[in-house]
Amino acid sequence: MNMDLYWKTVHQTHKMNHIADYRLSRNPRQKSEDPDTLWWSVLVDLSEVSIDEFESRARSAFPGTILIPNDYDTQERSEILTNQVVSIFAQRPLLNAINEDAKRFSVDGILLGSVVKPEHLNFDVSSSQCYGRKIPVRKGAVITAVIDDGIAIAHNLFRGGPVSTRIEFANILTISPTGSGKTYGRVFDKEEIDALLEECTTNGFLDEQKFYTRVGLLDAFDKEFSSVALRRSHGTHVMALAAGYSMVKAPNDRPIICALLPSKVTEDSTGQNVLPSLALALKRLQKQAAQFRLPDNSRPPVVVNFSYGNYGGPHDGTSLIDRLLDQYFGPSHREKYDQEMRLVLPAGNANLNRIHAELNFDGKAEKQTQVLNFLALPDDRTSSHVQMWMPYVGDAPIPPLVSVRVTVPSGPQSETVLVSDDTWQSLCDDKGQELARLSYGFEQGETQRGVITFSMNQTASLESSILARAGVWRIEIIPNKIGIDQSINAWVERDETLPGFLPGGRQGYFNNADYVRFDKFGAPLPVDPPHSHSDIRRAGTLSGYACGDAPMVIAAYTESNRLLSDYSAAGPISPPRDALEPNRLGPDAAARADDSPVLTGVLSAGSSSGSLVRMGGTSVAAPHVTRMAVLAISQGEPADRKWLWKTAESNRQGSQASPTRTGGGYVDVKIEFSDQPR
Amino acid sequence: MAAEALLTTRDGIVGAPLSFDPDIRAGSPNDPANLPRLSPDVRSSIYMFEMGSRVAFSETQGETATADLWRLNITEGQPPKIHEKPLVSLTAPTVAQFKEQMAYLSAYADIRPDRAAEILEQTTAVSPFLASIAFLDPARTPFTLELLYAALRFTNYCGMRMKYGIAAKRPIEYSPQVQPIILTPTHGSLPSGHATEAFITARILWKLMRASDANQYNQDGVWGEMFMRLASRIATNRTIAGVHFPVDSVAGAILGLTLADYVSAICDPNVEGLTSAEFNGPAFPATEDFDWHSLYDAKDDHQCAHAGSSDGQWMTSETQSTTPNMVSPPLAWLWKKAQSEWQDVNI
Repeated sequence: MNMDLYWKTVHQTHKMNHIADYRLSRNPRQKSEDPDTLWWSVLVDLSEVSIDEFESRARSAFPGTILIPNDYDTQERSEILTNQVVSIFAQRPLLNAINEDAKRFSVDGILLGSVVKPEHLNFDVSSSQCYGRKIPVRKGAVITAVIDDGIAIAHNLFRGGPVSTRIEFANILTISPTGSGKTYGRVFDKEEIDALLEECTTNGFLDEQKFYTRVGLLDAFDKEFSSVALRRSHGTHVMALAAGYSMVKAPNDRPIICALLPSKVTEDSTGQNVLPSLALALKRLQKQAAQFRLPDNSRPPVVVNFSYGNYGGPHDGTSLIDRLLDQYFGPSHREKYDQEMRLVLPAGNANLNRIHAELNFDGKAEKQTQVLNFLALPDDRTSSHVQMWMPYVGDAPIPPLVSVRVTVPSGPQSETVLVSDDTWQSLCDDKGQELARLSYGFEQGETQRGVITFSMNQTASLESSILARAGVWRIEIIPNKIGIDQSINAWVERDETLPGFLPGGRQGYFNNADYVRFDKFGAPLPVDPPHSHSDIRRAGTLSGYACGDAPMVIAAYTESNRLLSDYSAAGPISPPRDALEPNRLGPDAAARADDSPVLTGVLSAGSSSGSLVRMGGTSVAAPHVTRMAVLAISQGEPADRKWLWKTAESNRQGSQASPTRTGGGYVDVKIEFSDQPR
Repeated sequence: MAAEALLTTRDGIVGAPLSFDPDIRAGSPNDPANLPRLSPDVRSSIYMFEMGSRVAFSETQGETATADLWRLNITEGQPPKIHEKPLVSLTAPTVAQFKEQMAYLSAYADIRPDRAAEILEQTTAVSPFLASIAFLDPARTPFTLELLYAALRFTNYCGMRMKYGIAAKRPIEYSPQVQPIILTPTHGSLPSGHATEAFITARILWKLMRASDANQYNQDGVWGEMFMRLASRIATNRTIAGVHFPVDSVAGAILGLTLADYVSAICDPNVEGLTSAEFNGPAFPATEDFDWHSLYDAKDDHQCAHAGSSDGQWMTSETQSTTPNMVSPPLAWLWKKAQSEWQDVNI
């Protein structure tokens, strides 16, 4: 690590997305594979171009480097929309070309997901043209859709009888699609699940390991281990809170559809992003939900729970995920698909994680240059990224609001990178290999804001690779044309992996001395103390997924003291361009996520039938609201954001917490898994 | 202190020598009626001899080693004779198969944090796990525990010889990346001792319950099924820990299930048949994991006749008849005592 490092000024060709470029420029698996041959899951925002046309341009420029999932049917493939976010699989040469010359492909935005094993892709299937069979349901039926990882679909709380599931469709995106007719992942319908339940049941006992092995979730020989092999799995816990019922009291008007996302399948050292899989899951779930029919032949409403979050993004409701969610849950969906769909998301757990900074420049001398000390942790096996979002200032090109420079821990300082610059700063080792980058980019699409990104390599690796230094990276933001009423918001992108899981990321954070963490009694401060001058803010830590107009966003509270849980992330967020007000102040309501400060988490299904385990976080608060919304919508309530806020508001009970943390207030949802041992 | 006190007491009271001719009978040889008067550790030695002296071992070397365990037929007044077919025959898989099975070791290591507590506890004690299903307690079921310990000792006696005969290397010798979370035992890998022990005790307990007049034990196969689920988990935990291949569990389960049947045949005069089994390791598909269902049907307490495809059967079993004098009287006494502990107490 004592090698000589130096900063180099690179005259850039245009890059639409610097994080994508940074990730693509590295070999994510540290192995001898040619990075050009790796397949990536990717989200692209197509503008005024059909999927067919986009594919044809991609194919002619880079043959054999693109795969459009066959979930997009022939009609959808031929549609030309102002904008549509589409999930694709592609190889690096094409992605680099799109990132450098987006107009050529009519792409407004790109987001890199993760490396996908080629054996998990089916290159020989064609697009389907129609929806599947109709599934009749009773009057008052409401579909619960859960998108998560590690859902133990055979758990008794999802069954109506020993060999009868309540899950109509389980979409498993983590397994090989061979023979399934799908490009990616497999679909098991109720009939197939029931047949497997029957096959794996002897003497009244379901052999769950055998069941999941048959499904493909467990294949120890091929090192496929879903978290359903563990006692505790996120998706099982969440789905039982959203839609779990005792087998003896199983309702027949609460069908479940679910999608299992790949959460830990790659060893990608550049980080990973699950959004392309989410997009595909939503597409598939929407089509499956459309197969259901009420007695009057209309389609029953759907409430979707997605208990995932991230830290980065513009936080103004215009990001790629906001646009994606708007396709399914915005006003246009109802017109197009004739089916009510609601979405529930967690607020996020980053309140105390020091991953957000708000930088203001008031013109006084001491505020001339702002400093963020970014602490990169040792033994972080994935890249870290810090995004500094400029305010919206009108159409591009935007004025040079600020410039930024970075100093390596005990190392050299970069030149400044100015907003609107066409150069970037590249930190290289003595062999000329890049290990960190500071660059400016302009986010197109709805966002229309500049962003300066600092990216750095992992700080540890078991294999030979180019490592960045752990320690404090000093990021200086020097005002230029920025006004005193304008602010810059910086977020550290999420980079944490649960202990024991791959790829082994550790969350870096801002470590400025003026950030006060504890009160005078030593308790963590859940809100920014008044009169604090620190730029590092708890406010504004809301999940980057949860900033759109459509989703119901849920904070976490602790049952015993009726206080908001300290980790529960907070608004506010920024207004989108040309708007005075943001989409939301923060979450819409808070739901139970902890029984008490010492008994953290709540009980819900463990991976094995008959077991209950404890898990906390806003991830488990969200499905409480999903369950409540399902009930409400079946009773004729709108079960939308306004309804939620109003319901929560009636239950504030003198809560002192700000609406930016709680939204309307608390909602109480009683969940009894009555035949479960307690 | 006690000896000194006894010494001085005797001195004080013994008196002058008597001319006393005791009217005493000789002891009753080979009589189980003596057994209740023996301490448990003395009895356990007798059980061990009774079980151990009724089996013999042989080993042959083909493509891989085969370890055969034979039963001895006892005819009164004659030396024991070896039964015409082995009771259990285990043929080791090839090194190539073990290499292929290493994929399981690597994958199962991922779930160690979830199983560490079980794995550590099971290094020394399996019975607390059985006792969480069957109502076992030293006060309530002393003879059942005595029977189980005798069976475990017998299992260890047979299993260690078979392991020695096969000498299968442990996963730790195949890769530096296994890094087991417990010490790898020095004995061979196949058959898995834990699988053998777990399956023999599980099946014997299930046999005792099936012979009970308590309705709940006979109304369905659920107790037997649960014992097997437990035994299977104990076996798999050893792979997760990093000390066994899945195929070791397969061979161990075959040995344990078959020995359970054998133990009941030499203990219970009512038994008319017992199972003999053959494991043909080289035919076992190395890509397969351990699945006890392919070996045993709990509801009917019956070992499957064969496992594997028609052109590659890796396990076959058949029912042998019991022979006269097969039952050992001390073991029959123990079995009866154990069985009585599972009878219902009714008003």
